[in-house]
Amino acid sequence: MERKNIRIGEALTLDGRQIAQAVQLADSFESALHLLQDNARINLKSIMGMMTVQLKAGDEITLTAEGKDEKEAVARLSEFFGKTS
Amino acid sequence: MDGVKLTEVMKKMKLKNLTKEVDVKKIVITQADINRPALQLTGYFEHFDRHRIQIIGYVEYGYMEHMSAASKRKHFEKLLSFDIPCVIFSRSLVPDPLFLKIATKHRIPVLSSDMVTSEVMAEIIRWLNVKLAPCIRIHGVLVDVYGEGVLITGESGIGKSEAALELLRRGHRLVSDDVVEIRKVSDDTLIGMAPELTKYFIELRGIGVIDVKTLFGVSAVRDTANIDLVVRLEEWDKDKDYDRFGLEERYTEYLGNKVVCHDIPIRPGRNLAIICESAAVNHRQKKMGYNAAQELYARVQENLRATPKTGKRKRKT
Repeated sequence: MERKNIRIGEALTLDGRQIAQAVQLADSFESALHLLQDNARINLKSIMGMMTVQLKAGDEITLTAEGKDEKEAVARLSEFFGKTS
Repeated sequence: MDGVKLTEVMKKMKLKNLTKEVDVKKIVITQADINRPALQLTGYFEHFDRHRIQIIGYVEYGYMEHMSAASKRKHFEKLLSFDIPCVIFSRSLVPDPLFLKIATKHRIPVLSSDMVTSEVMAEIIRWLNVKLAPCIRIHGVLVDVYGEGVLITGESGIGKSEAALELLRRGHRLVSDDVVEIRKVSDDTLIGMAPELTKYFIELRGIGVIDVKTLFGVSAVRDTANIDLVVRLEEWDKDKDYDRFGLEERYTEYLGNKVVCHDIPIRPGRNLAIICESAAVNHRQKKMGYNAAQELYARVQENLRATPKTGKRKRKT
């Protein structure tokens, strides 16, 4: 299992459209992907689940991945969420 | 643990605030139980449940009326110096002006209800129990099928939402797609609902988000449902043994409550909606006292007894 803490980048607005992009990116991996924030554990491939979390730039989140392509998934997703410009 | 705002309790229970100067907006109730402060009025404060709502009924009121002025001052002062969330006088009983004065001083709201004490108590506890119930969010779809709450779970993309869509086209009702909030209201009851934000929406890969309520109408949705049955969808695994008889129930656990769970293997050509429907109606039949698997088992046993033995059985050595 891969696990990484990241801070959400300043360049993200995380409106519905960006969340859909994140979900689409997550969906392209085979691994089971989750986002942890406070006590909530959200499936990154679930659009409804991701819409219910309120993410803002600067928030601390944890990404977890479990599966064949876990390393690549965490790398690509932390790149997505960590965008600063 | 999250709490419930006192203003919500006041609105729900139609409580009047007798201490208008005390700000009630910031007070949060964290315990579903209530306390009747009879012993505290006599000065006994050990094991005092100060986080509970305090209710003064006819008995406590009667006792207070007979207290001397000095002991009133002493004991009211002591009781109200704790940070209790509020004091409710039932039956529209009018509190002693001294009680109101001391309560205002300590910023403890004094509320009034026109209900009988036992009714206020029962209703507050019942309502708070639901509101304060432990809650989790899980990934899945909740559909009311013939009155049974069926929670469909499984990996992303396995076809949960598609199964839900077909179920509601067949006349069943959607509670929540993708994210289900589960509340444990008692040791054998779990209630599921949608987060306010995604209520009535379903996401279908390739189409996007659809609004079930506006598309298919009010008869296709439901706000909450008990979770009676879990249907776990998974890719067919030839090494796993799937239930073929149904004699023994299998269970899964949410918040410590056991729920009957069926593992359903997915293979092209299996109609999920009909499987979910059959699972729901079969579960209902079991609750009504008939178990098809047991019936078949009984018939087979009966058949074995009825067949006369012919000669000796051959045994391998």
